[in-house]
Amino acid sequence: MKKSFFVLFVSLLFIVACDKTTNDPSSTAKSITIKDLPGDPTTGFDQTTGMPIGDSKKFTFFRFSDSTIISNADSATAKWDIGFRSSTIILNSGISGPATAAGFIQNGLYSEIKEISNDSIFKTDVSATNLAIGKNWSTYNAQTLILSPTPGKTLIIKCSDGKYVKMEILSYYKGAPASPNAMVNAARYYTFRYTYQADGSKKFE
Amino acid sequence: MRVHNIIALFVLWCSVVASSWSQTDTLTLDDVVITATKTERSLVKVPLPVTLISAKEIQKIASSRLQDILAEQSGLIIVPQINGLGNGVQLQGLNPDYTLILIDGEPIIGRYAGTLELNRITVADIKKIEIVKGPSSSLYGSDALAGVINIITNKFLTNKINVNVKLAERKTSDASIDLSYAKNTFSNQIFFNHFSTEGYDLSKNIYGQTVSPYSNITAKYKLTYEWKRNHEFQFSAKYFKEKQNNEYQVIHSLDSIRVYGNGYITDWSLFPSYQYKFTNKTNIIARTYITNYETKTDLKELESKSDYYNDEFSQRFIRPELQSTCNFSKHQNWTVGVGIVKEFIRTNRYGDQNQRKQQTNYGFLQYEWNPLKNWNLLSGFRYDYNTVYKGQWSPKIAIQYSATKSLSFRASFGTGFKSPDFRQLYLNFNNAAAGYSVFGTENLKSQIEELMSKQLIQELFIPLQNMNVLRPESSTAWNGGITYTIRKHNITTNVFRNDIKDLIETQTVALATNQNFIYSYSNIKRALTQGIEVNYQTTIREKIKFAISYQYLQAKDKDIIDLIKKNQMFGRDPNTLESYKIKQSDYIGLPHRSRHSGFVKVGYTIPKIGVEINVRYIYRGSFGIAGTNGTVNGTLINSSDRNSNSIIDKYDDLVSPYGLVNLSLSKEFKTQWMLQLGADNLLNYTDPTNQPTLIGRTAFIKINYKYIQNK
Repeated sequence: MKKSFFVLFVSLLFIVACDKTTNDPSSTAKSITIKDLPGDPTTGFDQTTGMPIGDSKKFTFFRFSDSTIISNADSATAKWDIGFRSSTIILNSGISGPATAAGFIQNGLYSEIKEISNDSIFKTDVSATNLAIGKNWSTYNAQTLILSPTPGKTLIIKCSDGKYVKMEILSYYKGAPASPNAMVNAARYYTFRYTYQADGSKKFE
Repeated sequence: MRVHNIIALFVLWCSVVASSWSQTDTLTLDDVVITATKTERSLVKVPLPVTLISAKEIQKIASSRLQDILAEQSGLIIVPQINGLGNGVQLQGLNPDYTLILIDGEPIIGRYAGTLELNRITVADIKKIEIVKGPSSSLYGSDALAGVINIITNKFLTNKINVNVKLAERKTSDASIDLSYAKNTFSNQIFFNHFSTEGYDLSKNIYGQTVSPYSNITAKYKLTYEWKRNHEFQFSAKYFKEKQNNEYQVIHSLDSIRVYGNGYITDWSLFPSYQYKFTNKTNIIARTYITNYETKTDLKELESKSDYYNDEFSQRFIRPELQSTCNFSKHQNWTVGVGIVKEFIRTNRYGDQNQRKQQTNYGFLQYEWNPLKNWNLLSGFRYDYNTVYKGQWSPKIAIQYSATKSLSFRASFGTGFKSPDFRQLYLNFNNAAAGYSVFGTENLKSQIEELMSKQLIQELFIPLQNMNVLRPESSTAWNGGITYTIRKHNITTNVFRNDIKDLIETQTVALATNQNFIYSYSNIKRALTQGIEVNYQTTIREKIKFAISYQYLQAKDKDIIDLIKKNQMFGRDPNTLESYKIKQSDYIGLPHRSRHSGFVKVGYTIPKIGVEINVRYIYRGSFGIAGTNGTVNGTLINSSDRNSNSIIDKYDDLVSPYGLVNLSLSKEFKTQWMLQLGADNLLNYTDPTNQPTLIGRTAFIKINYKYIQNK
């Protein structure tokens, strides 16, 4: 089953296509894949300073329960769970937002995480350098200039509505190419899969 | 204080030696090696894996630089430097920085990021090369972790002229003259070599050459004087100068900048030594080695003519050493030595022009014992005391048993270490453009404290009290082997295992308020290498010489092995983009290690015309390349990693196995002239993206003239 829909992404002032796919229809909590969610993309680099240009410096907010991008106007509300900008990921908590979202990164395969263990420690966004997720999901290669999602890093998130999500980031480049090239492929486009457990339990089966 | 005590002990030792000098013994005229025990010993009786390369072997393949000859030795693999510039030698799976390279027992300094450029060294005046595998810090101290390569130069006691001229493709020329004048026991030797090449270019579409043109000269003088048959004085001096004409592009962020300019290397050494022989086997040697290495590079941007990069580096190494060997009885030999190493470095890489220095005081003791006719025991240790990392013990024990005349077994255990280099201790590097700084560990604490007092540190990743001094990298190793000789067949094997700990890696220390990261060095990594080496050689009807060599190697990061054990190592499928687990059997190991490598060599002398043909096939099995290899003259080196986990595993894109064929034809005329023709890398195998330091086919012609005055 496959359907497409369009969301007007106000802060970026352009239209982005999100592709939502559902697999594994037998289980109660479905795994959903989001393709090319923009995390404040740039239009290029300043030739003299090397700094990115064309970016808005604003996060893209996302709500897991209905796979929706939330307007930046609602940044101070509990409407969103997670935010993306460049390679930084924030959760709606602490310094990032007013809600009580929390999370951590678990070393383990997305498909093998069937339950969140009760002794897990959920972290919130304490400071700019002490974020629950931050950049810790990724590995940067200074030679190839490629940022790749570190394999085996599964994000465990408690949403603003108190429900649990497991999530794996699959690609940081537009179109999720098999071997991205920093000179060719546009960065800051997130492709990820996640499972939202609507019944409030910590089980994903 | 320590030094005085050591000298006092030494004087005491000398008086003991002097009292036992009445004994005499005759030396056998076998193949003799010096490197394994620091005393001349018969090769077949040394309980360590030692390879001996004779001058004849060096000559018959018409090699001119050290790399040519080392590339064709069992268990040695030529690998590119970390930064891709030049090559080094990998021994038992350890990186080039872990093999100590000596000329006449004294170290060659001037390693760039740890690797010694092998093309700096001419082989035209070499008598033999000895390679000891396995850690040898019990005699040589730091850097002898994988082994020791000792280049022993000619020592003539006759009047001799030796001239070599080699011309090769790419305007490469290597010419040398070796002159000796001897009268009685007084000999003078002058050696001069000139090498020049226009370099080569493997990627025509990229600006500049893969290797820029360079030329160098080597001048040497050696004086030997013996008197009363038991005094020997030797003095040698060396001068080397190289000029590089650089012109290439560098990648800076996303831009490429064309740069040009000259680079210079100047290297000199002085080496006086005096030996007094009480008997043939009991002696005392005093020697002092002084050497200096300097580089200077000035690069300018091609378009703007503005300075792009200036680099100045100078290193000095001074080592006085006293050594004495004594045989108390026929079956027991003692060797003792003491010395001091003083090293000085001055470079703009450390943020100022101040001189940094280090001192190491050391002493070693070695005991050789033949309890029974066919048993050989070698044991010893060395203690190094360094101003930075304090004390380091290096023990060694080895045993050899000759079961029959044709069959012998040996086993050895030893430790090795490599002291932190100056860069790791004193670097003070600030790359504002790329947004990071690197501090050597000796500067780290004060630099961080200063930044903290200025409120410039946002976050500290390791506490100040944990910013400790670096320990040396160290290893323990086992070697064991069999030698079997029957008629014209010779088989040698060696099994090895090296466990290396405290490997020094860069570590993120702090985040500055301007969001720049601050790095330093730390003893964090552990690794292992293990394998087996098998060599077989034979002669068929005096005309055909055949040799085959094979090495099986595993080289792995122990922390990765542990992560896989804990199910914590993953890969990402580039197509489905999903993660999966890496199994122990999937993990291949450290970069640039070929599991299989070896060679086949055939030599044949055509009877009637007397032309000797030597063909060598050098094989290297597949291997991976790490993603952090960087750029070479603007060309990005490939990374094997295809599943984003930064380790080399079976899902990665490994470099395919390859073989190089080298050919030489030699013909002697009137015993004084020799003409050689041939080609290295005859099949012209190149791989610009993976191996930019692998040069294409090089045809050559070489003429040798030698004249020895008969007495």
